[in-house]
Amino acid sequence: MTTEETTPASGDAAPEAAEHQPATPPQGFVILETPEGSKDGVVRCPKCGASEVAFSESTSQLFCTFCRNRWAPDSLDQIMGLSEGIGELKGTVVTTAAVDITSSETIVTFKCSGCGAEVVVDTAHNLQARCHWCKHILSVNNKIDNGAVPDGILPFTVTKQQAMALISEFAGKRKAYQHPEFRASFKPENIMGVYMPYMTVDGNVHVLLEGEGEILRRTERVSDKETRYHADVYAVKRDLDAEIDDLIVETSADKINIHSTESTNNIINAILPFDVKNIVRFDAGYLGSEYSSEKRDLNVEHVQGYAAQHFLTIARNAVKESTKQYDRGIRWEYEELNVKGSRWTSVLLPVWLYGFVETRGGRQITHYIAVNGRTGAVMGSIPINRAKALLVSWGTAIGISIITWPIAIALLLLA
Amino acid sequence: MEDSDGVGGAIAFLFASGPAAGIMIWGWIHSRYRNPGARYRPESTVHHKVTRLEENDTFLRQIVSKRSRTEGANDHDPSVRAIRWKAVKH
Repeated sequence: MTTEETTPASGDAAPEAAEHQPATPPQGFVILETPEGSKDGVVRCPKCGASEVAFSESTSQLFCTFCRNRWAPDSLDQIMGLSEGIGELKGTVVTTAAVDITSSETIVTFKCSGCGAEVVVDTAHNLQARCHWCKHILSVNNKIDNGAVPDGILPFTVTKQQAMALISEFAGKRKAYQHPEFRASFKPENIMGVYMPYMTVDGNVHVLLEGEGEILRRTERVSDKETRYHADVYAVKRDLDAEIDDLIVETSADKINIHSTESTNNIINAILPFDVKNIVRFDAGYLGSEYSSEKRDLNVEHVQGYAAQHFLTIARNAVKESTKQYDRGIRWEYEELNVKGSRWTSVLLPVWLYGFVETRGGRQITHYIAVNGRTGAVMGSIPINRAKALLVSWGTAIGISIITWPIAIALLLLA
Repeated sequence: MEDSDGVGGAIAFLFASGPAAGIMIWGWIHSRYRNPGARYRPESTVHHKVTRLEENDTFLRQIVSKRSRTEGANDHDPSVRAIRWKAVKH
């Protein structure tokens, strides 16, 4: 049993990425085997055997560019029963690719089955490479020790053209105070499609909440400037069990800290959720040449604190209906979360990302505009023309003060 | 006395209104462009089922307060943690 106890939530500091660990399974974890996917190496069309397999955003399927055969794996949720039995979960269950990372090596070398040449895949950014001799595409589809290959993937359905239009509209509504360097360099075509690493988490939890709440009995107007509130104070306690299905947690050390002062990670966080029920068994064919992928570098132990905070947030919101009589509010003083069981699945989720680096006072800040590659939800951070914004703010302050201060001074002298 | 208090309030408002307007404009620009409060909201987007809920509320006392809300109330945002919180994994 593991216990964490802390004062006001501060568990947002980015943990260090997993370093090389000996290949031993984590204590207390149960592994739920993910079904075997496509083999590593050259992926062939199941109908004609051709190796030119591509991904179609419009149908969300893989297709053979030779015979036009289309196919798509079943939903991982259905074939592995990931929405079932949450109430019976005990301990920590991890799917095959969600086990601890045991290697930091990113280079995987294949022997091309077409011509025998050695082909190198840099799994830090992609899981496919083309043999430069015979042009076959080689894919890494099955679990490797560095965490690069997930159990499942949610393919892009928002095209690059659609994403470009969305970020243009977002930035277009925020033109007046845009940083001049951002405005000059803004090119929507530079948006990149990235599969980012996450884990989906199911939780079987028990939560205890304690605090003080107040109910207004009556209001007493004592004078023009004073009102007194007569209230009843209660000790409020809620004890609940809950089943939580498909919470999403970032598993990139670079992105998990949403309060970073160096990059606007909260923007990428804000385009969640995704329709994770439609996640399919991972196949590198979904990446193609258009998209890149980021490698997972955090294990379950690094992110379970973040999941715990989200579980508590969900529980706090779930009891709102039962505490609505406390019309003066509740001061929650103690929260206790018992995770009876959890189930973790490693996935790649599609994000269209536009980045801009602002340099201010020797410090660099990376601003993102992000588009959810499934729902089209957009969020962004546009760097501000601070000189113009300060001019308008100060100008308004001075303009209003020019009118109001003489009146205030006159009143002061008369009083 | 009451009149002088009223005049005092008006004088304070007149002095503060200019700087307050400037701060509000800066705040609006910062919020609109940078979206610092944007985040994942699992409380309203993650499917969950409460299978058991026990309520245990006990009357403590009556109070007379000048505040319109409970002091330190944090129920408005479920992502704001209590002063003490604990997570245990079995």
